[in-house]
Amino acid sequence: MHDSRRTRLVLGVLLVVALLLIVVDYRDGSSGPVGGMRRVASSVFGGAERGVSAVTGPVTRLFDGSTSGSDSSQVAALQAQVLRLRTQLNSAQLTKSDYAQLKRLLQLSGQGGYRIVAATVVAAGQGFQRTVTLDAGSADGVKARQTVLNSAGLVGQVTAVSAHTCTVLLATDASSVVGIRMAPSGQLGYVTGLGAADPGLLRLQVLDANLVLSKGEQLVTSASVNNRPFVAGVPVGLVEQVQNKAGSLTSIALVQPYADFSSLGVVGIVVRPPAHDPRFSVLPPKPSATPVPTVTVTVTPRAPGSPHVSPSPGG
Amino acid sequence: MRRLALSAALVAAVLLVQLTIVNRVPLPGGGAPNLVLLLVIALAMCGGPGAGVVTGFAAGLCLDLAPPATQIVGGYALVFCLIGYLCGLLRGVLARSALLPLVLAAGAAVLGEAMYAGLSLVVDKSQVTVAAVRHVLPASALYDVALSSLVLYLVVLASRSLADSPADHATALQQGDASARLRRARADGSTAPVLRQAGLASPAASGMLLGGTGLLGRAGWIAGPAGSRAARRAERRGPRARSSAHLGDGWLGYGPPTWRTLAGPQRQAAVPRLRPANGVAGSAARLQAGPARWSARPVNLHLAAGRRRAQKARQSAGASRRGLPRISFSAGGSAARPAPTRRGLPRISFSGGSTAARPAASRPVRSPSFKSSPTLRGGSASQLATGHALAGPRPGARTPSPGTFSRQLGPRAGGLRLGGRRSRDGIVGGGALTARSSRPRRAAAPRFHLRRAQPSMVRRTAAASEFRAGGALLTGGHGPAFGGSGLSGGLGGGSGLSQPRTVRFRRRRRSPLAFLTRRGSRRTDFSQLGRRTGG
Repeated sequence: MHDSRRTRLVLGVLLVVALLLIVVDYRDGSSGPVGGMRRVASSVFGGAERGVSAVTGPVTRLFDGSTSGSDSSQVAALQAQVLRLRTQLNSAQLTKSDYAQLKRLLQLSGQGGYRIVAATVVAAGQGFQRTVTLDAGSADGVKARQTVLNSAGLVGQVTAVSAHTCTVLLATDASSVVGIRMAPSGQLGYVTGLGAADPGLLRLQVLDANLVLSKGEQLVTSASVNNRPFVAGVPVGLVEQVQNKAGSLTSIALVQPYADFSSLGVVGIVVRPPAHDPRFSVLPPKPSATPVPTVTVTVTPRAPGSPHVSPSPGG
Repeated sequence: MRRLALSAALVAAVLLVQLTIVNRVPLPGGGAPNLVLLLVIALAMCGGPGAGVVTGFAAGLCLDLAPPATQIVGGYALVFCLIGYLCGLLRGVLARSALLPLVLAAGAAVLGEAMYAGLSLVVDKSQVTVAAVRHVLPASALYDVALSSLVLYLVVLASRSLADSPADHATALQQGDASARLRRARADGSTAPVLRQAGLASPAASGMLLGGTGLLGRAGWIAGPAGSRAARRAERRGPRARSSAHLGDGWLGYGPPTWRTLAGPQRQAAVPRLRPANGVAGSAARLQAGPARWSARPVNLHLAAGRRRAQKARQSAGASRRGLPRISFSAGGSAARPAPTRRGLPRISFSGGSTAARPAASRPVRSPSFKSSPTLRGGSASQLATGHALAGPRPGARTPSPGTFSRQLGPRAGGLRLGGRRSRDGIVGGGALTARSSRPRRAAAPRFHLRRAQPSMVRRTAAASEFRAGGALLTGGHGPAFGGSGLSGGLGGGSGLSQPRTVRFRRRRRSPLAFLTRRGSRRTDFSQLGRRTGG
């Protein structure tokens, strides 16, 4: 087809269709015909992504986070659960990295009392959005608006589910809002993602105007209504930098999340919330300041009338 | 069909790779390349604007809908559709230059990223902020620029391999490896089977390429792919040539004699057509109805160069800009057979001045050549009539006349001069129309399709009426050159025309949405270029 009137006609028609899609999607969201298209595409492309990811897994697993956890007290008790979940994962071969991540994930969920469905990330969103696709769907008991966590902490929430895949809105997405509690005090606040501007950090805003934030404070999720979309007690992150802007009503801080969002591997979807609020029991131990030997040398000009600074033992 | 399958498979594969691997690998800088955009650019540059529009829209919609997506649906479809169209317009560049397509592809990738970022800023305020764009866009654009050449190269390679697959010669011809194919066929001894295999029932329905220039591009068809509606129509109408001289325009006039066995009866009913497109004299040629004999002397076709499209033809043929490049593509095609073995090969020259008026001795008998010179902008005859022809082509000289064709029609110029002094000057009219054939010729009047004529031409209704009046193009007085030749010239006004038919002006088909396009005003259309000829 050359550049002819027909081509231009096709171009015009398709542009109009695209604009209509944008408008319809903007107005209706997931309810309209665009939602139906999304569901169809989700089942089609989701299956394909699962298949492709099974092949290309070794490539992406190279970049999966492998920050080693230190707590190994309950490893033996969780071995059986690991085996069960491994079969549930339905992936015949887990790499060593997957195994380690899954073990820590089960450890965390065991501490909090979460019943989880383990899944792996098969695809990541395009452009400015921070979303991933997991290889677990409604067939595994996953529903929309459920909490997703990994071995380190909160990952996000499920936004859309197909039969065998689901889409997770990461906590770092600009449209994600997570209610939190400050670890020692129980003060309430919320964190929002910064989106593509800074995918590694969250922005914390507390509700108490008098609260003074300090670096290193830990955050956990506070329970949402009916534990949807967030269950209580999931570690979120710790305060990295306090931004006290003049004129702002409450203090704002940047939060370093526990989970490494740039390399998500094995994650868990909380399909049943804990019976009791775990409060802060799931949190990793607060990084305590290790004593560093420091040597201070004080040099003072010798003065005859000052006995306390005299370095001489006899003075 | 194969192209469609290839495009669909490539889009699906690249989309999955993008979502499952590229987006997951943490790359420095915060951005990631958009391979789907690069693929759309490459496919559009290979396939033209139509393919680019459709491919871009489909790929963009898939990217909008594929699972992890939560953004507004239609954004990528909109942007990729536009980018596909724009890159499709650049298709010819791929054949002309080696470096330019890479630069243009990189630029298109950056443009696409910027367009999507801008669109997201407008419609998707919850997720996209200026800070996010500032963080992501430079890195993404940089990755795209780095990878665009690779993607373009791979797509070109894939399309080439598609063209080389033995199962589909039509695709091969369509995609521009005709000369290579013909060379191969020559090694086998025959050209005709290849062409027949290729589904070319008639040379009119085919276009030879000037060398494997077009890639995925559908360069090469004169009348559309074999089997298409246009091709069938072209078969009914008989051979024709248009001198729009786009990529891969090949046979002006007639094909090699071996082709004759392919379409005997159709040729008899053929009506020569002349399409003086764009000031480049066109030709309708029809072979003599007799057996396969070429005249002892070369047949010359003079298409004045200097026009944009003629330039294109020269460049696509690999000719240099300077001098008089010989392009071995003409009848008897030296790609298909060595030229000196044939006598009296038609010679096609894009030069100013008609060799028909030159002394025969000064005309070297040589292989088919394709001359071009920037001397003339219009048809050769005008030059001839003004006496420049015998001076030969003057490289570098320019005739600054925008309304070339109307000048030819003027009383001063000799008009498009098609009546040669010799019989069987088969190509541009003269011989074809005045052939002394054993059979009675049908009175074949050339038809003109002048779309979007030069402004001056539209105004000159007198000239147009002269078209109609005589069934001959020759409207001006016979210039000295005509007198010198001793034969009546003129397109279709040759001595062989016993019953001149009325020249038909074809009116373009009108689309119901014609008002959307810029050329929608209702008036007599002078078709400038055939649609299928790459115009």
